[in-house]
Amino acid sequence: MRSLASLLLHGIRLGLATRMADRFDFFASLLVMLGLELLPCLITVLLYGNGLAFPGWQLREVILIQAVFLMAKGIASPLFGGMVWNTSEMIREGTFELLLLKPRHPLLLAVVKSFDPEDLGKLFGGLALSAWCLRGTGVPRPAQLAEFGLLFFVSLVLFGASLLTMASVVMVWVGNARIFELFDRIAELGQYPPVILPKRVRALALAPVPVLAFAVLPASALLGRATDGWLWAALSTFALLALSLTLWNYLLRRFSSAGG
Amino acid sequence: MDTTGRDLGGNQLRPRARLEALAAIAQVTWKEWAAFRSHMAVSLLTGPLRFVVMSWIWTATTRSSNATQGLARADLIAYSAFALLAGYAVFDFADWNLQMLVRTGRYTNHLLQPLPHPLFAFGQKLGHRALAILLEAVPVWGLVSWWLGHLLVPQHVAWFALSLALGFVLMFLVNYASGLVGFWLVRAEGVRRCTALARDTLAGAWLPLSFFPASFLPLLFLLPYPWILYVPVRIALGSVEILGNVLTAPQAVAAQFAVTLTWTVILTGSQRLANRRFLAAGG
Amino acid sequence: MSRALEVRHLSKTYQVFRRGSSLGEALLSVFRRKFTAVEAVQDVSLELEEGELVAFLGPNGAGKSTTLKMLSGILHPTSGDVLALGRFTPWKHRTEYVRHVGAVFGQKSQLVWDVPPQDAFRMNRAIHDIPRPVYRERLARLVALLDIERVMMQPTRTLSLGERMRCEFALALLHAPSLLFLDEPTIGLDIEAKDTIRALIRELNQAGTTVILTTHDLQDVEQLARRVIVIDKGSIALDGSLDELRLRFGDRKRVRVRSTNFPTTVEIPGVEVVRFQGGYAELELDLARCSMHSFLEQLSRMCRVDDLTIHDPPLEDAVRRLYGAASPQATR
Repeated sequence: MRSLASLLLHGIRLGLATRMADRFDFFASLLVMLGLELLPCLITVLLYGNGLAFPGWQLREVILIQAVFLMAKGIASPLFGGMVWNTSEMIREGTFELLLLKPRHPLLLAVVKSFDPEDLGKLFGGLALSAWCLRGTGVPRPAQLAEFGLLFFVSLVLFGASLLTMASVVMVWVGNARIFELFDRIAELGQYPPVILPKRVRALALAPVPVLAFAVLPASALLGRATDGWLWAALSTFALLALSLTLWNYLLRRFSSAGG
Repeated sequence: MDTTGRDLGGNQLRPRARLEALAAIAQVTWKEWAAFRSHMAVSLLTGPLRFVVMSWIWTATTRSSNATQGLARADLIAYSAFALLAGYAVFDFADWNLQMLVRTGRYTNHLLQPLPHPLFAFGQKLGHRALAILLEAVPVWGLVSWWLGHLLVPQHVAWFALSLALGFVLMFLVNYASGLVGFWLVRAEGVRRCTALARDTLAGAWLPLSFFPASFLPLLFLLPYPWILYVPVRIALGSVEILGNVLTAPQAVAAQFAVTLTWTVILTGSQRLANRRFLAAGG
Repeated sequence: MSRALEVRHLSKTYQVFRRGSSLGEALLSVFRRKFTAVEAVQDVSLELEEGELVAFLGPNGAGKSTTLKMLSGILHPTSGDVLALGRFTPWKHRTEYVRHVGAVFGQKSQLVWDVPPQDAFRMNRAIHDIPRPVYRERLARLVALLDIERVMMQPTRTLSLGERMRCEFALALLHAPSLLFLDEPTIGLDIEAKDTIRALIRELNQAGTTVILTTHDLQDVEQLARRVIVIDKGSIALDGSLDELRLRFGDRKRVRVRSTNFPTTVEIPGVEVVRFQGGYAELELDLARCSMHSFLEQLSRMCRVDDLTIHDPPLEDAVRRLYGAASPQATR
């Protein structure tokens, strides 16, 4: 356990040191990574600014969904997001096999070697936006906070499982940067109030594709709104995690038996 | 080689030879990217998904008021559809490509060729986009039409095509110019992504520009971005509304042509400066 | 002495994508792909004793890398067995096995481009879970041996290739592997850097490390390897000593002759003129067809010899002939 913690710590240190090699680019990326994610907020603000609204949702409530999404992504991406790029790049350059020359599970090494702090911008942005939203919607009670904590954890697991699935896919689908785009499009469904979704799609968005668990459910907990169906979303999130781990291990075996 | 950056081999090819070179580059790029057809096929999922989300957003938000900024719900949905489809035609990564060439030193290879690099890059874009129209735009157009329940056809088809062609060139010019930043910065990826985000937003890729604050619009139309996407999409919808004035399709295309010409001049100038910088820095 | 590696009938077949070059074929490839099976390695068997230093030679695409990937546990074979260090099947016991394996790739860096090598060393310490005192002691020894004290604090991207390779070796040796895979470790290096790396490899091997070296640089082979395995078209074309490699195409000698009246053509059976250069004629003798004694007799009748040197033909010649006429028959 100590050795694992030490390994993770080294990964974080190395990730920071690597990005600090060019500070200007790092800080620019920090802002851009936040900026890229602010698109749903921009759309929301412009819609409300032009007299349109999501029925039954105030501006700050909608922005809170997007802020929670940012926070979860801001924690999950630095840890697991770099792995997707890194795996793709290593496969293309033919250096992925170097991971197999180390006495650790390649998945652990892929995570450790890919810590990317530039996504932390999302976390800070999400925190600031959440604070702004909660100033308008009222401070949540302890029970709401506890519910939020639980659902936020589910959201982190869902991000982790999604990124792991993507890292698996790039092992066979070499060099495909568009995998992130595909993920973003699916996740976009979970960045607006669920009123936009037709009824059947709303059920699917809890299970088996629990996009509502990304942000809508935890944000609803903070707002004291109903979080019906959260158990289904949590169950399908953990099922997705198991599936993504199985996929990764399967593709690793395939990589090492296919010819590198 | 001229160290002032002038005539870096650019005058060695006659116009006809240049056209032939352009066609050959486009063809090679087509073949090169045909190998990545599965990458392009991602658009068959992402494109319709983006459109569906936007159409759901428009449906939900216009439940109480059917029209805003002079656009009815059906217009807003059609705007999102045309913006998506036009995006495939004008998409460009000349900035990324140029920065990669500079960073890896491979730009030198182009300085040694008789074809100026911007033309080379434009040839690449022609090939790349021809493939994208076949593999992305056409199938997505079919899917979007199926979702809408009717064939999505732009108004003023010929003017729309011309406007889209100008948007295609303008997008290339703007992107190439932004890629030139790589000659001055070691790692320009952050800056590149920043400008790409601003470019798409200000081009009206997500929302009609009339949704932006009125005080910001006069400045916005001085920039090249609205002329890349917003103008062709509005032509497809029927008429172009700019700062409260309604332009006919020919008027809008004429204005777009002037903007494109201005940017051609700007790009030519900046490229000379960049070449000079590259040669002075020793690659 | 026990065995470092026992390889039995190792084979590997994989599929490659085929694409045409015409526009039509490219367009067609958008919808349909064609694959062909490539037999990268066919029925390779060999044994390697602990402490041996063996060089793998072979033209590009011959199957060297695929063989080494299977031996190092990266790749599963299609068929065949490998017993490594007396107890491991590399691809089955990979995690345990690679604790004893080190690898240096001339063209694939294990260092991190933007940070100093020292950071990568520390990371490797954590990956291999090397106790700190042991790590410090080993690092100090490697730093002295490889003379990298100054460079290991600089960002990797600022290092020369020679400096980087020395750091690559340090990284690969931190966990004191008993089996070392080296893939073109001197590629691109200048003469001095090559000498340093070769001296290091020799020293490691003398200290008991088993070394498997793949290279295209025959100087590496001549200076380091006692045994050579030539792989061509996926099979072992030769497995033997350097002398065996030289003798593979007959017992030959090179003779350089200086003479003011050397004839333009030589008509001695078994003797070929290789070149005329700088007043010298260089001849190659096939000793099976013309003995040295008979050659010298005929030569002295043919011209007035001012100077004469005799040496072995360059290794390149034997290797070139071997690549050209690969036979799947192992000689050992």
